[in-house]
Amino acid sequence: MQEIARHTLTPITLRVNGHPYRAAVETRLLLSDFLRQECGLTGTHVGCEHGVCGACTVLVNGIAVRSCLILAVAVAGAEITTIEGLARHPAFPAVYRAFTEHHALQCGFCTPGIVVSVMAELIDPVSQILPPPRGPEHGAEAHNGQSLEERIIEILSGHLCRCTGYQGIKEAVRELAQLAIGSQ
Amino acid sequence: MKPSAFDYIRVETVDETLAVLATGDPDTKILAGGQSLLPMMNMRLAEPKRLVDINGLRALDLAPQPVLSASMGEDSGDFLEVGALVRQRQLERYTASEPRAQLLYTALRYVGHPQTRNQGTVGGSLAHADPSAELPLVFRTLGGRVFLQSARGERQVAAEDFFQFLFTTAIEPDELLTKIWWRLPEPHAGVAFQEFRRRHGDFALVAVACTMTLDGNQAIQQVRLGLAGVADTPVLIDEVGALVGERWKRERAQAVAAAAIGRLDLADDMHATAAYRRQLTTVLTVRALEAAYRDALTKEGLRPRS
Repeated sequence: MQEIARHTLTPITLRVNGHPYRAAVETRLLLSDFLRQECGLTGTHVGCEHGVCGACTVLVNGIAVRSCLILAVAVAGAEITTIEGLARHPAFPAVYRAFTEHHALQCGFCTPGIVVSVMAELIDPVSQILPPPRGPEHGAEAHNGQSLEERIIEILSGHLCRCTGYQGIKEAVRELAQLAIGSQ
Repeated sequence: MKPSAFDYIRVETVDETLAVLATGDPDTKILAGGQSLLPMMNMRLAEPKRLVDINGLRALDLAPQPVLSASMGEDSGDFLEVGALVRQRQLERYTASEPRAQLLYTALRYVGHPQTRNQGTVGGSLAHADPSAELPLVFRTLGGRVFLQSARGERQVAAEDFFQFLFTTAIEPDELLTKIWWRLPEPHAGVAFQEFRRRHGDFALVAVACTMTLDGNQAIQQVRLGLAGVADTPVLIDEVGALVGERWKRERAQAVAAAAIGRLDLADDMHATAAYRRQLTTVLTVRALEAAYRDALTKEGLRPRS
């Protein structure tokens, strides 16, 4: 059992993008603020701070979550991946290119969160690559009974974008879902 | 939009947790997935003085598994056992390929977003008891029981006794919700889930869950229908029992639904007027009844021959 009193500064170490970051924090510090203020990783954006907008989405042990709804002290020992870490991922250039080609961002505030969610959903956890190409007959392949289109909409539903109207983002994600990165 | 200060305790075992909770301190809150508690703390709607983080309790991370032909007094049947700390996304993936948990699967897809379901827990949603939340509605509609542990021992509470008021359940301050048994509908039961909300992932304005079985003449044999968003807790609408023994007729279902929902005590709020909510509830109720009936027809072949 670990007990930390309020108002005290307790040293914790978080592994972020493969590096240890050590800082003395209060129990009430959110993971999003730890990343931005203690690690200087400002690619994680803070929008609504109640889990609705999705701008602060990061990976905790490879799973996409809201960093504004997680306490920094609660994830000491976990493996955190932010957009800065994913930007060095071998699949990232394809994501960057697809988002650029389809005009999937305008102001870019929501983009880091969207890219984290999309890469978490589309990259195979074992091979670390985007899924292999699918013929047209597999274009709407079911995933838990969902069509590809429904799956894309569901991933994006957790993110608010006030600029694009989402069409460009959907097209970028659709292209990524059908793209082979590993075979290049 | 930052939480106020609190003491933080990370527990490693159930016994440790029960010892911490034994003081019965009302300012102590359990932190599970935190997908409802943290937003409330960020907005200072909740200011607990002490958080007990139970995410390290392996015993509560009990993977979903069916418990068939269980018998507990008069409460017998098939159940789905789920540890309180199982993430909503994990249950979603399990129920996607479990035909008898179709209602649960359908409802889970309406809970927040994939990114919040990755972190939010099944037990946390029930213990939070939001009156418009999907999982409490399905629990009330299917039936089942929760298992509560305290330093005083373990007890079970049936679904119909669990939800007491807005955000209030039968869980005492010294108790820990450890697992849930969801009653599984008969293999030949039709099920339906209907919900209306402003945006995907928002809280439901109104949600409806329904299970229904038919007899050999395609008449309704048994029907259960629950509503969320219309009262302090999820509620069962017993009046739909009037349809038992009848084949599907939309006008008849419409009349029964309108009469039952007309008796609900609805109030205007910032989201909708009472009249709008009543109309919406009636429409969704009829849709749910019809969808459950059609689903039951497609499962005719699964009905045991009598």
